[in-house]
Amino acid sequence: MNRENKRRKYEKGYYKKHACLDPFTCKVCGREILPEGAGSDHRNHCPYCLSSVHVDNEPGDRASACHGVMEPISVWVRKNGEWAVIHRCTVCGKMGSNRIAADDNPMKLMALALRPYGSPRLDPKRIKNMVKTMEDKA
Amino acid sequence: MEYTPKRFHCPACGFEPAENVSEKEYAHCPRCLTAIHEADSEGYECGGKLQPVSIWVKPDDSWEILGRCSLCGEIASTPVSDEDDPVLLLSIAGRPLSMPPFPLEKIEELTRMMGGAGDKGGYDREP
Repeated sequence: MNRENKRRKYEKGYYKKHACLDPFTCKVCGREILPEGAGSDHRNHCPYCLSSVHVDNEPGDRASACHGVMEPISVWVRKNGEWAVIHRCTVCGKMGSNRIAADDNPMKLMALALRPYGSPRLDPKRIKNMVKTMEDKA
Repeated sequence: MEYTPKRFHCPACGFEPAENVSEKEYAHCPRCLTAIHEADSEGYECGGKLQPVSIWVKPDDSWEILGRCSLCGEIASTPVSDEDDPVLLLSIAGRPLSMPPFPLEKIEELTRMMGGAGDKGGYDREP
């Protein structure tokens, strides 16, 4: 194990090839997060508040010096039908997409997906007109 | 001599604005919402297509279209304009809802568990 620790410290791009199985404390909500239960070996965001930290430029290289909090801004559906959360760094504005984990807070995920529907930019009158024209055409 | 096209032409769907519309800059195609990934975050040229993937609702309630580059996979955003196809916008926003990652019964179960009074801030929270 000693040798493994040394390798982790000095080998470049160690986490590109190896899973990171260390527990961490969420920078936003302060909860202690264990690697178990994610459904994959690559937990990259807090399952409670879905925030992440900007440590990588490429997955696993730990090369970013920014270390800003990455807030979840949206979700999208990948080609294979699974969801991914889009994170945006609050310090430098870099965006990235991360797969959701098995134990992510489903309420937070649904709230992210429903965000556009709760915004005042959706004019109910315009939608009513849209529906009306759709009904007329059918 | 460098060739600069005057009218906007969408390389993804072939959209061109009508003749009587005055020239202006488009951040993305208003019909298919695809943009061009001119340069990546480090400033290198890319030139891939930014396929619309999701909607980002900013804290000031303005919307941005999040596009994913088909070449390099980077995610970039372009602001929503008034000419954008509203049906397509809504369908992009609703795509995750049509494919929930967990069965819908689970959401029902969760709502019941929270009872609208959980620490998540339920809508009809009782005092």
